[in-house]
Amino acid sequence: MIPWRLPVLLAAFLFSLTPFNAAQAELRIDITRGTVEPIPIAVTDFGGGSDKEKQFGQGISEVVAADLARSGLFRPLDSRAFIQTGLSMATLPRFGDWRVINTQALIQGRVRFMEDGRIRVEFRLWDVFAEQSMEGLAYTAAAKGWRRIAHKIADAVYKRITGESGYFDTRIVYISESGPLNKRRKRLAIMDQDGENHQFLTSGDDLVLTPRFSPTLQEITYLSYYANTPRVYIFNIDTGRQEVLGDFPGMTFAPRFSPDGKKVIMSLAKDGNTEIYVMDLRTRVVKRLTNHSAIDTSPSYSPDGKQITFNSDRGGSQQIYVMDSDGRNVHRISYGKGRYATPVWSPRGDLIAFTKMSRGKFFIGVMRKDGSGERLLAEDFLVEAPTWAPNGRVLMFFRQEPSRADGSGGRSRIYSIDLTGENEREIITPLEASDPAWSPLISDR
Amino acid sequence: MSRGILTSVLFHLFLAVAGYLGLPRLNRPELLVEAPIMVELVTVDDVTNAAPPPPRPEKKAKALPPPEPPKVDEPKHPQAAAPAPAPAPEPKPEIAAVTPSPDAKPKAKEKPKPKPKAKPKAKPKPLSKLAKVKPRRKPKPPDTFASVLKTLADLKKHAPQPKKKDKAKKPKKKESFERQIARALVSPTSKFSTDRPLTISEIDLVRQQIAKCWNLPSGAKDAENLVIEISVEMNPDGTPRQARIRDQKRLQTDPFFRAAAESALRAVLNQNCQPFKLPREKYDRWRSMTLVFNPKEMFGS
Repeated sequence: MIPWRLPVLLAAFLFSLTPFNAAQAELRIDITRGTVEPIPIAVTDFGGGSDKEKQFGQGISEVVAADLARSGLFRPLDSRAFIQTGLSMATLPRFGDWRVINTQALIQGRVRFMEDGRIRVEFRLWDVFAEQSMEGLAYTAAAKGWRRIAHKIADAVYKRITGESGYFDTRIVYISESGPLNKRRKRLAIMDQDGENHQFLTSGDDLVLTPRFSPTLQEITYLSYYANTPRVYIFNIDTGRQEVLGDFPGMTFAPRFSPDGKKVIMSLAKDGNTEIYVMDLRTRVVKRLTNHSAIDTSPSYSPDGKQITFNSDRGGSQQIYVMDSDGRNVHRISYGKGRYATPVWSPRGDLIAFTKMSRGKFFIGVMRKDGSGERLLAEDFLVEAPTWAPNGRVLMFFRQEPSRADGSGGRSRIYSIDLTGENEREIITPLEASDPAWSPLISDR
Repeated sequence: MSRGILTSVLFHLFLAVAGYLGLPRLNRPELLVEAPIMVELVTVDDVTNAAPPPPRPEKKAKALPPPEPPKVDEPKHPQAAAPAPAPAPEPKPEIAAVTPSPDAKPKAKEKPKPKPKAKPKAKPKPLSKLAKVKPRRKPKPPDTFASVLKTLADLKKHAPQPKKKDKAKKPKKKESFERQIARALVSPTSKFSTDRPLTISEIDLVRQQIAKCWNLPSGAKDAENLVIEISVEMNPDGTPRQARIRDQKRLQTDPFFRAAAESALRAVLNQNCQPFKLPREKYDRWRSMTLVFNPKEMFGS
């Protein structure tokens, strides 16, 4: 009797103690749900002393607000709702006034013309609830570069609040299209990420396709039909010079830079077979990576340069494959219904974007690099050519309407969409547009 | 011999007495075990504070508390699901305002030389298309990542159905019963309230309040794994006096964590979601507390 009773009594004793311990423990509340709403943010006018400074200040704050709004993650408030006006960089904002209008963050700034004619723009980002400065920076640039300063400020704000680097100080190169469908004039064009500073890079005499930005930024590689032979070219934006990349016996296409910008990977079609080749831009040495009787094309490097995703019909239908950068270890990753094309590795490394064709429709989608987690973001008669923002958070692609027998329709436009599948927006271009390619963040060298 | 018998009798007597005295102690804990179940039944609307246990003596009231706090962590909140569909009061007007960027255009005209009008305007149509697209993602529900965004999108429509099914049953059955208890207990509660822990329903209420103000870091890489703890010192009126992100070290080094932590902190400090609806008479219990922001569930796992 005693032997078992002792432990029982002991247990009972301990048990009677536990309630008190638990009762004394600190209260913990788990918050497991939230909302997904754009963050309300107040972008005040970047004032200045003179009228000219005020003018620039207003322009800058408008560009900042437009950038943030376009991201879909922020909701700039109408300045007419502001209670406190004429903020000074020298004094703290009256946070109470800003809380009243439900803003969570506040951007203030100032523009000043320097003696050498350049402008200096300071800004500060405030956390309205915590009443703390989150960021404060100053930029100096030629006055005509004011839009870039604004984009940089928007990038800084985006980065500080979301933790991810921004993508506003970037450019888009794309194919501008005009003329009737059977006699299309296609020109290489470039513009800021918000559609400003648009310019044409080629005359349109020769057909151009699939432009891709170099990570070093001054160069674009693309496909051009010169004398009816499709070849891969490199175009230098600064100098306007273009050159054929290598002298191959067949036709080359689907070019893309390696992440370090030192190599170009592309497809070469020869004797009825298409394989993937990589060319070292400095030594011009060419190496063949795939060797299969099927068509292997659309190669894209992973951001670490160790792997390559590409498109092949070696399994019977067009699917996405991944291999090591030396061409070994080829394995298929897409297994959904339909055909998959144009895989593009995210700069963040976690996802691969693609075009999918299924049941007579086109889709833009993303999947993990192992092929799992496929999600379709956009769908239409024709959507194609996904390209990643440098932060791997936003995609651009183009969409073409069906063309009708009377020759109408067939209009094609560029769109951007957030990785979450929300916030799809059209990018306005002067003419019709296709094949967008997003630049990396513009660096200051 | 008789001596032996005597000692034996005495010894047995002693054992019997010891056993008798010991038993009652064993009994009480047993009651404890039952108690927690009763507590869970309580729901929000009775925050009159009568939340407590069955129509038993007050002693139990004290005993009940312990088991609750741990349970809180579980996704048991019956109502957590129901109210969520209506997030913030203003959300819809906001979204509308964002997309067309109405004010951007008027301003554009006043502008200097370059035309800084926000060019890309959102298209209303695509949204509906997207909505259609989403169903297609469903085929892979088990996938964490896939559900992330799906959840996000669906959230607005049919917010939280993911939870327990039994919630439907519970409220119905219990309501009237609870009310009775509530009425019956109104007076007794005041006696013990201070050190009584919060009921699940009371905690749920606060949870919902804060959830409305918590803006998730939705598309960020590995966002589902960012768990943020915030220590809060409360005023008796239910407003936070001081809130602090626990992991200060990571705050300095990890920008993603910092962004997520600050979003959680904003949720706590957002006056639109204050004061927290906590029972004042239990102030001692919530004077200082830890809020744990864990978005994992929102990302579908």
